[in-house]
Amino acid sequence: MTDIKMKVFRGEEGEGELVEYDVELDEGMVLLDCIHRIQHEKEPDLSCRWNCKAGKCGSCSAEINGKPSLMCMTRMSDIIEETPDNEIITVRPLKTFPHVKDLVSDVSWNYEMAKAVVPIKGPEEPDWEFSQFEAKRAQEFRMCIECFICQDTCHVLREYKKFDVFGGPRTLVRLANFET
Amino acid sequence: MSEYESHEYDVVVIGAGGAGLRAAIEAARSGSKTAIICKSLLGKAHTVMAEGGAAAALGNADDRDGWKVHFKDTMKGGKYLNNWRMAQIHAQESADRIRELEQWGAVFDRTPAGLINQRNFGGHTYPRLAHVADSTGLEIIRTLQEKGIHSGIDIFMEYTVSHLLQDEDGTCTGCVAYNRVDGAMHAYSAKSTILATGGITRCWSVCSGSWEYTGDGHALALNAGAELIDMEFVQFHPTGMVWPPSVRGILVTEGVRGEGGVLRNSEGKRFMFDNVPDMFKGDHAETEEEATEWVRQVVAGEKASVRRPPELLTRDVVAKAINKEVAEGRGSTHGGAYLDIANQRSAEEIIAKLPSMHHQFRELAGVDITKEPMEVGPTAHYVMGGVRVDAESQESTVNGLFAAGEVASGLHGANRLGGNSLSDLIVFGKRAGEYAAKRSSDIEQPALDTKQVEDAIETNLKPLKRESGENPGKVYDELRDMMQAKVGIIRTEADLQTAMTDLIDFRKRVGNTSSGSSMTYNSGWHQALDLQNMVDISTACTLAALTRTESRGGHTRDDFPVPDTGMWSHTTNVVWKDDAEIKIRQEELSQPPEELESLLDRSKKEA
Repeated sequence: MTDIKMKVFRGEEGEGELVEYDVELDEGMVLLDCIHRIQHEKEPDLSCRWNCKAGKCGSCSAEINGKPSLMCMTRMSDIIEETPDNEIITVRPLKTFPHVKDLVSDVSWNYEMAKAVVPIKGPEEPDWEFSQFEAKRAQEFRMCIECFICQDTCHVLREYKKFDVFGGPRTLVRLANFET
Repeated sequence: MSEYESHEYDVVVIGAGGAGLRAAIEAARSGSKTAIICKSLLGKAHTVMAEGGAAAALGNADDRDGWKVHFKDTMKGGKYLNNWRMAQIHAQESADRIRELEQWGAVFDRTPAGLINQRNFGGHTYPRLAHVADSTGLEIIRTLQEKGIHSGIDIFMEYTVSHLLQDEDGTCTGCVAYNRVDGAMHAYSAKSTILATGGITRCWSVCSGSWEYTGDGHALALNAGAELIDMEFVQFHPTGMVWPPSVRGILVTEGVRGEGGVLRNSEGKRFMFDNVPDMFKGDHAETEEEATEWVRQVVAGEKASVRRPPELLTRDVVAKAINKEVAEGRGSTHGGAYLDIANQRSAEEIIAKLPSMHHQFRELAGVDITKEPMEVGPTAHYVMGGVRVDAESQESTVNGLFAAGEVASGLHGANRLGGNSLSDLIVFGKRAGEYAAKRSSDIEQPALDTKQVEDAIETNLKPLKRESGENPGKVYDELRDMMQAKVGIIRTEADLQTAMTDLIDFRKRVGNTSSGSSMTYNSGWHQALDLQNMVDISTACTLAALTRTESRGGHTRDDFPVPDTGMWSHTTNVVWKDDAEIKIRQEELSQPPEELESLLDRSKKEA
């Protein structure tokens, strides 16, 4: 592979613009690698949230060509293939939440919602017996890595900003975990 | 005068992984006014990446297990350099801590009888790891997070602690932190402070650690005058991804081998049969037939009557064996070994037991692990070394400063067993919270020392004010490459000496980085500050590695390839900082009392 051009949103509190960068590509790179390369070679103050770079923590969510995705799990070979020839790859922050800077949004509302859901207590007695089949039902809902992409794409939040009356899909998944 | 916001707490916990959350829950439960300060968003700490499970001798999958066997396995895996009392407490208390998580809502995988299921792992005699498929860390951190946010704890997310505060006697009285989002400075007065900051593996370019792993807590402790021990012992996990280059180092769970996965070289040979160290002779299967029968029994839910495959030797042993295969020209296409589960288990079982491995290889490497082998090689994964603590209370050698989890040291000796980390977090996190709260209950709120706070703030702002320094990212990349090349899995005196010289140069460069002047979520600024910790900790590790003239556990010297049966078999390296200089001395290790010694299997001593 060769060098590639990509546009990254730069700015604070929603004010800003897409800035074009040339990035040198190595085999197998994911989009988060490109952002790190821009930081380490050109722009140290480029803001980006990330942790594990392995698709397990859900920190590096961004809108890549308009599609909310984890930057660490987006392979450049795939994104190049899906970007039309006459267009340049774009990377923007999650749009639904208040913008902080560059690729970082303020997702703290999700943590307020988490606080509103009071956890149920497990068994008082230890060594509770239940089957793997029963466990699986709850586990499915507990696999959520809280990347907040579902919240970002929910039109009730994204378009209508009903943050005061609706918790979004993430909160519903959390509640579904309690059903037996 | 610098501007900052002041806070007062009984207990301040630095870090929100398993140890930090568990400590904060305990401190709050004991009635302490408690705060957590964490570098990332809640629930994103390194614990979330843990895969295979948490070791606890519940005896659900094999009733021959018990704390005494767990104690013996931990000590043997640690090559007998462990703090025996921590190994005892850990083995005795981990089962209750796991049961407690279930009472708080964690949903572990089940045995056919409906109890918490347990998985086999390297160095554990019996199936011992409570797990949720291959994403156990996610379940544990989410459970603790949900418990924590309803425990009345104040949480400062995306704040980094840069300095500890101390009174004239050296007692820790709080800390200074900056808010990563807006750059604002905060000063905390705390009666007790708990370090739960995790590890240091970002100091190596091939690592499984997240960005947070820059040795912050280790460096905070050093700078406060606390002692660190065992800093030469770094665990290179045998199975990290090796291809493509950008994902090199990402963890491949030991659970793959626990579920029957086998390691082969380019000649198709299961080389682990030829790599059994003397101390483990006779413990493992000696033929492929025996190993295959063990997998069959375990999959069928029977108690194993034959010996386990040699792929389940301890991590230090397997990592060095893979390294040797590659060095001698028998490596995989991209310089690793082949890890095959496809020919051992059905596709359905693989997807049920190892879903995130299946996903990770499909998405990042284009490999279907139900059909083809994975390529794997060693990756810097864990540091056994860290803050020297009292086994009962987790208090460091500095009054009022506690440490729990990876930042603390002692439990694992020269090598940690897989699964003993998650259990470490909850056992010693709880103890740290309990004792920190106890200490706080009968002392006055310390006054904030304005001068110390302002000096700390001035230091923090320096990278923002330099106009023509280096990009911190460049220094960061080069430091990690240097540590990988010279203080990696196989070490020599010559390499370590040049590393010490290089680190002097890196220290100068770190003091001259420039990150742009924005205080709003400025990743380069944060990196410039993290780098100071990385240089300190890299120096501590290199110095300790240079001193230990033998090979043992997570420390291998090519010029001293075998374990020393003399002085180093019962000696600990102690590192501390004196007037900005990192110093080292050796101390005789405390030996277990007779009733514990009799549980050990020292006849086949040494790695």
